[in-house]
Amino acid sequence: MAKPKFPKSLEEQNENSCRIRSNAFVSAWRTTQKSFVPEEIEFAQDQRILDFFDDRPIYGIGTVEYFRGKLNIITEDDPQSHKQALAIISLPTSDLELFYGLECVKHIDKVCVSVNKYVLWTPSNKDDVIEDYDTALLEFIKTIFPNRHIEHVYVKGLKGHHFNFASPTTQFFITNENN
Amino acid sequence: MKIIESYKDFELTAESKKKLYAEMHIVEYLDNITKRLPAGKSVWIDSNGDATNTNIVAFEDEKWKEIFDPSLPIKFYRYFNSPTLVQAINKYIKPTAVVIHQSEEFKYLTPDELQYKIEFMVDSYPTKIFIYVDLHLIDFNKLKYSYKHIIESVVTQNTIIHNLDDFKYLLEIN
Repeated sequence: MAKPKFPKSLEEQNENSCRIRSNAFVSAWRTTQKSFVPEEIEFAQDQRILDFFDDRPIYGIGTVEYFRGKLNIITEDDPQSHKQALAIISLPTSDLELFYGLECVKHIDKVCVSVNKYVLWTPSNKDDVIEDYDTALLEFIKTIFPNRHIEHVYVKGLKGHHFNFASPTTQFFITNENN
Repeated sequence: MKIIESYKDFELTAESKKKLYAEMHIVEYLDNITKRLPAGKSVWIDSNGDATNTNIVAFEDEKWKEIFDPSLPIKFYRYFNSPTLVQAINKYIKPTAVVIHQSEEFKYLTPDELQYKIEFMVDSYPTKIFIYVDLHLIDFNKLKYSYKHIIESVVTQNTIIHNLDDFKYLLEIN
């Protein structure tokens, strides 16, 4: 049996940039799927984001284009100067990229991290990560946002019916409240 | 404003189904399969097979029936793993290859389910088999297991793994 050849992008990299990639495909796919319903609709995961934030500026990273006209999204500036942040991970992202991508918003008071869990990847097996993926994701987010209140919303047994590739259904709503 | 959770919240029209099918069966990487096809007939299952090509026999899931041109010689099935379907293909078409490309049958599976389906294909069709697998659409703990580990754990013997792009593979079996 031939061994698979792996691309360079799958090799272990130590990137340290406050960035999560984005592209237009995800927005187009949201528009296409929304057009399947004749009336005006919002995906439940999008509505949760809209409900979570207030009018103050929101530092946005990743695939946040859809929310530019609906929320006060800012993508320039120093993230630390803002009290709210939205990170949407919809494109292939390694565990390391995710970690460093969220580093720059970890001290912000109110953060929503929305992740398409299908597009994450790790370059090598990690024995210390627990088996249940949803719980492992929560633990991962807790390491970046320790001692914070985290509301974890996800679809158990997520398959292809919940528009996850247009707007991620795994969401973490992070605040400073300890209740 | 209506809040939508999933596809179960509304009915798809024929036009929407057509768009959805097209998005699910993008023609990317098709050459990687066609250039490897042996002479003779190939059966394409839920793979948008070119039914105008006399060497291709296209089978599609019955749920998509209304979106296809009824004048095309497309055959429809209800159950992918039906012994009747397998028997009909082997007995009446006698293909030299069976192709699975961008098929919903191979999406959102766990590695165990993917392995089972690959083994089912091998056990069912004594032909060359091509299966396109996008590991993004395979359901496993992506913080714990590498893609390399998963693809190596699901393939059977006599398989060549063609790496088409990041996370995308063509399995050539037999």
